[in-house]
Amino acid sequence: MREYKLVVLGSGGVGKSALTVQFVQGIFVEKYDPTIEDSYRKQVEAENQQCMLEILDTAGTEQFTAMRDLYMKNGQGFVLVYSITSQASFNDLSDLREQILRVKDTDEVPMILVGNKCDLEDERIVTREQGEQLAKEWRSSFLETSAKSKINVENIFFDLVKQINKKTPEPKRKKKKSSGCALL
Amino acid sequence: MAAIKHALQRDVFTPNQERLLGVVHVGKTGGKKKKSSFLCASVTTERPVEVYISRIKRQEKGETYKKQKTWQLKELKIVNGKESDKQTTDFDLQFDKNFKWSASSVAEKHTFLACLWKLCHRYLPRQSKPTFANIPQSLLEVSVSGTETSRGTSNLPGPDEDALEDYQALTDQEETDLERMITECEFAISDAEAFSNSLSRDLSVLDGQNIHSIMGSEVQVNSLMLLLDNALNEVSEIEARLDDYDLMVGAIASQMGQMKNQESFIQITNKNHSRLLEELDKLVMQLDLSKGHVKALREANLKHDSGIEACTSAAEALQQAMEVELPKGLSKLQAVSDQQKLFDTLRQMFAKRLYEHLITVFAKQGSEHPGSSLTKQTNELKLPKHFPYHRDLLPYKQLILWLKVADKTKYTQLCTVYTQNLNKLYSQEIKDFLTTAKQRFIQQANIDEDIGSAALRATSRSTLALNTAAFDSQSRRLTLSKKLSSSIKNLSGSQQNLAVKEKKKLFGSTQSLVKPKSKKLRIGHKKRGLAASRESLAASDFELSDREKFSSTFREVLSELEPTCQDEERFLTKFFHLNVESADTMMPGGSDDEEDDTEQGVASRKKYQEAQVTKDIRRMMTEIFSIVEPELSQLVAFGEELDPLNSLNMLVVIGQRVTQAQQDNDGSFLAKMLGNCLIEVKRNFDNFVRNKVDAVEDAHLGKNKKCGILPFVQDFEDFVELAESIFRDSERRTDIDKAYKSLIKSVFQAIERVAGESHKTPPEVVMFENYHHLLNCLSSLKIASLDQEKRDVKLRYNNYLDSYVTSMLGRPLEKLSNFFEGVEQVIETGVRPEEVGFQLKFSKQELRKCIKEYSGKDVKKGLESLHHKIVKHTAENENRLQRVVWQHMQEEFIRQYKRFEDLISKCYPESHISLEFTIENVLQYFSDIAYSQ
Repeated sequence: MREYKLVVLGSGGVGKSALTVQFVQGIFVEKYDPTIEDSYRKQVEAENQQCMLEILDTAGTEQFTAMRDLYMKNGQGFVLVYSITSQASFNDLSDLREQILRVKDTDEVPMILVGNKCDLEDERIVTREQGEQLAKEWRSSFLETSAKSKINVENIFFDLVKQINKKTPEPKRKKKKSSGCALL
Repeated sequence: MAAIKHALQRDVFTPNQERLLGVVHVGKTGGKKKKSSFLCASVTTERPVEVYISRIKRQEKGETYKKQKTWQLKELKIVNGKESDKQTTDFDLQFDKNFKWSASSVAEKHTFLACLWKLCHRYLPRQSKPTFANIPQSLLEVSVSGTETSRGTSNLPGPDEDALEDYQALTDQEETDLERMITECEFAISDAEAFSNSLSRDLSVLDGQNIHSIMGSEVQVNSLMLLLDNALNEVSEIEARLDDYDLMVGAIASQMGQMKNQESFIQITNKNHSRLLEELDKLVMQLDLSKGHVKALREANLKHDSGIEACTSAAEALQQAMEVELPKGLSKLQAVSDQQKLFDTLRQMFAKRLYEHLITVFAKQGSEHPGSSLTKQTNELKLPKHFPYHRDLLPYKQLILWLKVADKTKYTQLCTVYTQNLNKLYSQEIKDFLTTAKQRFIQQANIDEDIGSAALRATSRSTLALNTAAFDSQSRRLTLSKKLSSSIKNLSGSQQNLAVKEKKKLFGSTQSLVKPKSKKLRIGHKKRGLAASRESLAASDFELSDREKFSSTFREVLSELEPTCQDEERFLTKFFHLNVESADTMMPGGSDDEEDDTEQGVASRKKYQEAQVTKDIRRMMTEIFSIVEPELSQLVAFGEELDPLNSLNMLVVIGQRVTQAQQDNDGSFLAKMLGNCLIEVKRNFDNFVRNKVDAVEDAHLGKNKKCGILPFVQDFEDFVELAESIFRDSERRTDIDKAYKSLIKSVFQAIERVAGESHKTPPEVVMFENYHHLLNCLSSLKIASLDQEKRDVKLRYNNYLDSYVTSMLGRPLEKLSNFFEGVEQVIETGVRPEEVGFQLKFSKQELRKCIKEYSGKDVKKGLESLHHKIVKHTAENENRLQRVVWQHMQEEFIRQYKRFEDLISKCYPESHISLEFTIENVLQYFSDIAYSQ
């Protein structure tokens, strides 16, 4: 079974953990508790094959940024999340993307731009067009999602798996047993 | 005609300053034939030119003329020539009214009309021109063509202005002379020759007379000439004198002018002088540096406060003098450039002096022997305070500011030197400090001195060579030996009461075991891991307090480190002036290029500057405290090695710090460093939890052991208890809650799995025992996030208990049960209860037969064996649970009993049949059996 190392990045409070937990456990976490770092494993069927997704949910707050390089080195696909209710969170992403490209030392990394909290249409500040425009510049995918209303949550990760498969077709099937230690 | 015209001109028009241009001799048509008057057209000689038409009459007596009436030309409306078909002398002029005239001749009339037309053409504007009617076209055209002058009679003055001006009337004198001369020679006309002869004769006579008179008057002329000469002499004399005067006056005038110029020059010069003086004063004021200052800069002692003060003020003065903005070109002045050169050398010299001095100060501080401080802190967890250093350095603050402005490179170098020195100092201090801390941990972990010192050696070695293999093996040995020791403790069965001395002995023996066995042990590590961690958890009281000690020590470490960092940061900011105000000079160019004064621009620039400053501070701090982060993560790793449970403590402690630091300053060095540590710890924590989950999942049951409470359940309970004590009010609750959830989930699965594997004990027992235990544990701890799980546990517990009781108790009164089931079936088919007894199968005899089979004694016996089984199934130390099970059994038994009684009283009323034992008997049996144990 192929493993995919996905990293969720973005400013604090945009809903990285909410999206991840919604995807992995199907629960919407209402309470805000700044994440330090959490990793999850989930087995899914994508593109007609079983995949093990190892999702790293990272800290958004400024303090923990020093470890980002490490995440970026190890990650294969990146979810860049902003909140449609915060212009700043949207603006921060460009720096993040540049950092990823720098660490990876390449022009193209499987990546998806995600505008979360799209259920809060009343408080919207970043328009859909802005998101699409940015994604177009980056030549990456784009989704508007809502962890609360379960909109497009799964698509994020499936899209990323697809991108990774396209970029690096599965290497020879190694007989590698998954370590079996899963955080549930 | 010409004579008339001449006369008219002379008598009438010349006195009026007019010039006669056209004249016609007319008479009134239809009137007397007497040609009595002349019509004249005249123009004024003065401008503006007026054109008049006047009628002039000749006086009867004498040759005088009189102007009778005058019209202006513009009054003329119509000129009628009356010559449409044939020539006539008549013509009309219409002014205010029509006048009819007839000229003396056609030619005369034509000439006059042409003259009129010409005048009209010349002097009147087109619109007020009179109409010329019935005049031969040729007349008008001719006059227009302007050839009139050549064609006109010589006597008539040409209509052209030039021709008019050429004409000079004879003066009266000439005329009269001429006339007289002609009258004197009446024969002139008849005999021209004679006349000319007489004339020439006269002329010669006159010539002679002239000559005579000229010659006669010569004397007079001579005297006149003399007089004239005299007069001329006089005049020239006067002129000469006048010239003298003039010369004199002229000299004075030029002198006066010069004086005037000179005065204004003097004024300008004065003004310039005073201005120059002013400028120079200002310049000198600005550029002057008092001798005291120069001296201070050159040789003041930087070691003393007074010297520093003098230098500070001198440096400021120098800076001010150097910053003076001189007008362009002034720097070309020798003195100014000399002064500037002097300043420059002063600046460089002083900068160098200051730099060197500070470097020695830094070096001294940096190399301050930490040994002395080490000795006193061996048992005290304290970082040496840098307050005195800071106090010593702060007086130089202003000088540093000066240096920053004056000599950027020196400033930067100074920063580097400072950071290097302090880095050395802090590295040493912090290393020592953390070694002490580790020592403390080891002591607290109650490990034998030997091992402790070995570990200390190991760690101190490892601090020197970060994470060398030696450290790895040593510390692993340490953990292993610790685990081994606890397992030995366990074996001896008296681990809690073991005296230190005994432990020492045990250690002595195990230590020798460690080496050969360590490899083997490591292989078995994973399997033993569960037991070992369980033991380390279960190792109860003193270890718990140990952990508290660990976290308190860890807290101490952090609370020592934190103020040190903060102090240093504050000091750096103050000492090296790392703030926004002086940040402009920190970023050469950068911000100046994008100078925009919009409010937003300013705000964003300020933000940028702030970020820049924070970055600068952080960079310096990172340089100074480069040791802290690896050391701290090493400490974390050390704590983790010492006891994985420590990551719980560390998570809480650092988490707390991080939130605090976050509130203070998000981007500061400390906050970042702690953030990194926290991630490290969090990973350890996650690892720990994952290992626990793995251990639970891998758990298997000992083959011949009675199952009882599964070790991992016990372990979970201990873990939760401990974690609760650590996390109770922490901000990181969510993390531990997540851990709980994943742990308890795996515990559930493991219980079910292990229950299925169990051979000796029925699965139900395994399950209800363990669930019961879990339930107790969860109820007593009251963890909000595990409420759902608690309910689940309760449900499972009850289900499994019930199913155990029913399966174990079964139907202790088998035959009776069968009998009454039959009865119930009959009743269900519709037979009335009272009539059941009449059926053969369920007669009273049958009932009595059944009842007889179960005497009280038999029942008691059956119950005793049942109890025995229960005791065998359940764990020895679970008396309470046994009683609970027994109670359940009793209830179930009584329920059956009551059912029978009920049915008997319903179906066999008044038969007085009853079971051979009463409820009291049953209760007695149960309690007897329970107490007998």
